[in-house]
Amino acid sequence: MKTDIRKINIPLIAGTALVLLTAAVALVSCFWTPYALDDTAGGLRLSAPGALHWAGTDKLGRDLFSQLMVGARYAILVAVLSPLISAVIGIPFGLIAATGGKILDESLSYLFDAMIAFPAILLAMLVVTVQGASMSSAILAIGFSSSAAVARVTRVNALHVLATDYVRAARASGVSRPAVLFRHVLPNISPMLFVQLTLVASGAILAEASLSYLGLGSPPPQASWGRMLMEAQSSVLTAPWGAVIPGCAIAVFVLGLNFLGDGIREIIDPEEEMNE
Amino acid sequence: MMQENKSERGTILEAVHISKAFRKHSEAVHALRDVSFSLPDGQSLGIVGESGAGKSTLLNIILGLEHPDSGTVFYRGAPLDFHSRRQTAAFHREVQAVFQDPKSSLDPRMRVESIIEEPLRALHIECSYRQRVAAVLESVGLDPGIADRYPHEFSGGQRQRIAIARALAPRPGILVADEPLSALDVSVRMQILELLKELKRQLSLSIILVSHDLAIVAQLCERTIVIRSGTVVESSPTRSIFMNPQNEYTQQLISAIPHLSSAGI
Amino acid sequence: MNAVSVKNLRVLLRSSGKPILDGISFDIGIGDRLALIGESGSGKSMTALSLLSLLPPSMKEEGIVHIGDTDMITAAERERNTVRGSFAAIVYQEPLTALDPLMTVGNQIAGPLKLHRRLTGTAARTEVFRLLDMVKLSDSSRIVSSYPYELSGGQRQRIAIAMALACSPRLLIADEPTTALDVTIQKDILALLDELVRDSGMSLLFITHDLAVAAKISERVAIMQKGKIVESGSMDDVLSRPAHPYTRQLLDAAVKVSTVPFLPPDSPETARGSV
Repeated sequence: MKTDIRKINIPLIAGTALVLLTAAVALVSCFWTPYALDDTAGGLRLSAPGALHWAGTDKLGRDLFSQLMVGARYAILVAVLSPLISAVIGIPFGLIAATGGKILDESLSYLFDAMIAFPAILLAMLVVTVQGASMSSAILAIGFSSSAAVARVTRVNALHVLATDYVRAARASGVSRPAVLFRHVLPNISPMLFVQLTLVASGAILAEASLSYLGLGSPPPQASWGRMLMEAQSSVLTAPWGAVIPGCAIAVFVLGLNFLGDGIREIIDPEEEMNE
Repeated sequence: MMQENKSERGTILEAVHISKAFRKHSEAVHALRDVSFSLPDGQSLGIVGESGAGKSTLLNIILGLEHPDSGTVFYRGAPLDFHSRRQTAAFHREVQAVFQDPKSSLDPRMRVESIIEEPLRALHIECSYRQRVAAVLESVGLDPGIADRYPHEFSGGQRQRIAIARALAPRPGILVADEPLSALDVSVRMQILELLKELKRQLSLSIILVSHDLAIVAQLCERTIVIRSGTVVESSPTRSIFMNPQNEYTQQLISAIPHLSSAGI
Repeated sequence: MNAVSVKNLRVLLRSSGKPILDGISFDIGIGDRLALIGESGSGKSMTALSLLSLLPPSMKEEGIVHIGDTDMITAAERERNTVRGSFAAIVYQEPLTALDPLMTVGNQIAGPLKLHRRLTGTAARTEVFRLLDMVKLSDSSRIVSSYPYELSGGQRQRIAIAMALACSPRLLIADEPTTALDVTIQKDILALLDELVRDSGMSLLFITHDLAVAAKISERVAIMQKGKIVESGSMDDVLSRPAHPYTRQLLDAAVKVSTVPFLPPDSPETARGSV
């Protein structure tokens, strides 16, 4: 039988491919880049992509392709650490809201809503101004501001699972409340959480790019894609590739993360349809 | 009431003056009003009435999933207190439950063996889990080899057997069943009914059966209580309920049993 | 012209070619009734969907399906749409999901009235009350402004029936309409259906897994197993002289499940004598 094209999970494949590509580039950059990051010896400034410099050079003559590769490293860092932080903060609070009784639940829900309503960038800027601009404070800030969304998704899905018959059966057979959380709630909400975390990851990349663009992200010589954008700003009309190339890198990675999220969701949902 | 020594009467489980009300749209809805019953040792009890908060709430209270507004459940003569770990553990070892919908009462992400082992773990029962799982699967008519599969691979009837196996794992003396047959097709319903009868006989199980179907109750339970709008309208040996129904509602339930007869509706 | 005329209906999964329905044939005359008996996996609900060409795109229909004089498989979508709702109507098993939770009952019943009969305003309102009356729902003024979740299962099913009858269909398809209901409510709904179908001269296709319930509403029966009809005929004949082993199995189960041990075998409440 011919493979049905509808059965192939395209988002999952595309997403995984793009994310792995970025990760591979990041890995390679630890061992090799075409040029050193601060190498301005060539003296070519704002040169277009060519044989010598595959992505051209910036206004100081540094190779853009090398910056791009190193930037992937930071992109991966952000994409892994920010969701991790938001999960570490958000999941416990979401579970507390789901199991803590009506008053606690309502108060926490208001808190979550307030945090989500507050513009993430402002929140991140606040943290960074206090901590000082660096990659780590950017990651922390973004992780913190995304935790409310994670908490909300955790809460909603946990409530749903806690209302199921199998949880009722577990409680009736003598399973304690904490055991129910670990053995039934967490495994069953994990898929949805995973999808949410990929969204957090893609949002984090964009947030970090924005922070860096505003000068609040990683200082030189750390070359994040957002900072590349900022530095290319002044020459965007004469040397547009300086902005377009990191911009594309950001877009591709974010797209990959979103596809990954979609792909995972497709795995979860058809499985539920099969249970007929 | 409190002075009587209940264990002398051989009553393992007894509910006394249970009441519970809910708030629905800022109105108090009485799910249960002064409900009492007792389960004599070795006998089975049917709880009959229409769908609605009443029967399920009563079950939840018996199983410790909800607290009554007033009234007490007595387990082996002592009031049931779910804050007492020891009493709770002893209670759950003796009283296990099977629920209505086989499609949702098994955790879809757990393998059959984990599902059946769970009460054993939770109650810290010492035995070989693997052997117990295999034994209990066999006793419900399933092949022990299915232990590493997932619930969605099985039909409704098979899943209900798995749910029964899980309930039997800790060797309970009392099986509480909430409409265990309603979600099943008729021929599967018959098979599970026969299974329950067989298990009742072999394991000397007392069954508390909640159902809206009097025919099933008649086949499994020696005593029956009929609940209407949250109150007990009849409480007698099942035989008497049929031969001599005291209440108009009971009569309605009896005549509503869909029999295959040549008469029309 | 029959209300329903099905010849060699096959429904296949497009991707694998696996047959869900494997050559079903039956007829229902105007004013006649047929009970279709099947358990999970027999394809009985697919039959209902297939008759009105409401199958998901992942499935393919073959054969001949006439509803009235419309060939549902070859007709254009517009023609098929006129059949759905006005010539034929369906009542489903689970009224809670068949009704829109966000609309009041009155508005929901008015929907098909506006669509098929172009009734609006006062005329529609009068008709809604008439329909609620027909399905014996008292306290109609309260019900009309209620939402589905505020009502009981039996009330919701009556509303679903009222909606199905809104356009005076010639064919009513009832897919497990009483399965989700309690025994007492089941009896009432069956009685209601019987009366409504009889009074209006509609044809009825009653789909269920419960032989005992089917016996109360239909004189003709077809037994389905794994996508095929294994036996059919008059209810009396099939129940008293079942030919197919599966029919015997269903009958046996139905009797066992509804037997009350204490009552003497010839009292009016007991199960029919065994086969």
